[in-house]
Amino acid sequence: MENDQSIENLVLEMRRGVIVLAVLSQCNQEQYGYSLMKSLSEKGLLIDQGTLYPLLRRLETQGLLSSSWRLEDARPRRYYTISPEGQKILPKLVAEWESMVQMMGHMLD
Amino acid sequence: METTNNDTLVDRYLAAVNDLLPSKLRKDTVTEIRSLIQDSLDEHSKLEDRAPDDAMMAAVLKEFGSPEKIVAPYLPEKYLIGPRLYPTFILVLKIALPIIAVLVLVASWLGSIPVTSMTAIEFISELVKSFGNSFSAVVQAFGNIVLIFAILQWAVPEFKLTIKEKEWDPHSLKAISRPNKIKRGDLIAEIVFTFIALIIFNFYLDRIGIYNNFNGQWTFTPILTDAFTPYIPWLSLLWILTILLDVLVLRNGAWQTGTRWFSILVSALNIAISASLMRNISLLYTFEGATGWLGGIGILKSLLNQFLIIALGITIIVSVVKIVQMILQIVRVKVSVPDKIVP
Repeated sequence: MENDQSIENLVLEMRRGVIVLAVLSQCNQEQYGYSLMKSLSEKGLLIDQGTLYPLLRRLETQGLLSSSWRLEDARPRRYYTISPEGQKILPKLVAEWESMVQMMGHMLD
Repeated sequence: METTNNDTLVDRYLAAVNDLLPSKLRKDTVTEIRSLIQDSLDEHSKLEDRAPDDAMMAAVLKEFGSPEKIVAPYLPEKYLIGPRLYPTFILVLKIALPIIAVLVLVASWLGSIPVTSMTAIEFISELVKSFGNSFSAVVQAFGNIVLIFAILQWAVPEFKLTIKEKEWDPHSLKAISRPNKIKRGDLIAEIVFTFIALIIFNFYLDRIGIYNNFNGQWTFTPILTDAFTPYIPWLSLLWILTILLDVLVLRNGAWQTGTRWFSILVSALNIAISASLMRNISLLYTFEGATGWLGGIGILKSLLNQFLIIALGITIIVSVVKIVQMILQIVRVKVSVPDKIVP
């Protein structure tokens, strides 16, 4: 039981490393929090709301995302999209990711 | 959809979130969380094909987690004393607190009534009082040190930055110190001399005095007064504990945490006795009655008093240093150092 918990924690830690890349890759189009969570979940990456929403704010503070409030059906929604700075960084992160996948592939063969 | 306008649970949740956030983040963050909860409720409502009710709202809020959990990542990391200042803070505590403890202990002991007129109960009561004063001073000093570091953390932006690694040269590494190593010769010598002192002061006290050859005849005058007698049990206790400590250290072959604490106790007792001796020094011995010395008694006693006060002062300082060293080693030596690292 304890072992299962340890494995779960390790997997969670590995996932945490890819969340930023995943979020930036999905924000080429405008997304609001819930739609982004759905989109990530449909592609297999389950993130709980308490992790995703503050992350969006952090990425915005870092200048990688920009956001704007919009009123839809009398409800305010905050939409996030990748910023010009984020667009510059994303290809570099993708390249780094690919190199890591390759490196790990060699290592685990 | 007007699902949450009158929803007590969501309103309560957002009110709790609002209270936990700093004022400048409140409006924006609460609006965003409200919008996210509404999105989630919409989704649940669609999936379950029914209007949101209390049960659905409770389920959604449970997914979001407690207000404390949802708010935590929005808050900037705050420290009373940050990681950059923390090692210095601990170092200051390790140095300052033992020194303050010992100084207050000695000062408190010096301020008590003379030991010569104390009963055993009064002596213990004064000792307990001195330790109480020392403890209060340590707690107060701890609070002040925390306050100073908290102000530094708040006022100096540099302490908020991450540490930049300085250019580091492996040759700057310090040689491995082995504070656990014992000096057998010193310990054996201490046991022998302490044992001799113990025997003399307990069985041959009446032989301590001035031996003088006056007109071809030897005379003897005891110099210790009755005021010295109450010290004998305490000095004997100190010496027995010293011998016991030395034997334990010799048997273990190295200093260990237990023997270090024991050594602190012995040093504290040594300080207390030395401070008391220092305070009453002129009452403890006399040259009255020593034949042939009459002209020089006053000057001799004055010089000897000065000498003994300096000697006891040195004993106190050495004991304080020993206590500080022992405390530092207890705190520091958690990792055993291998004798040799083979590459």
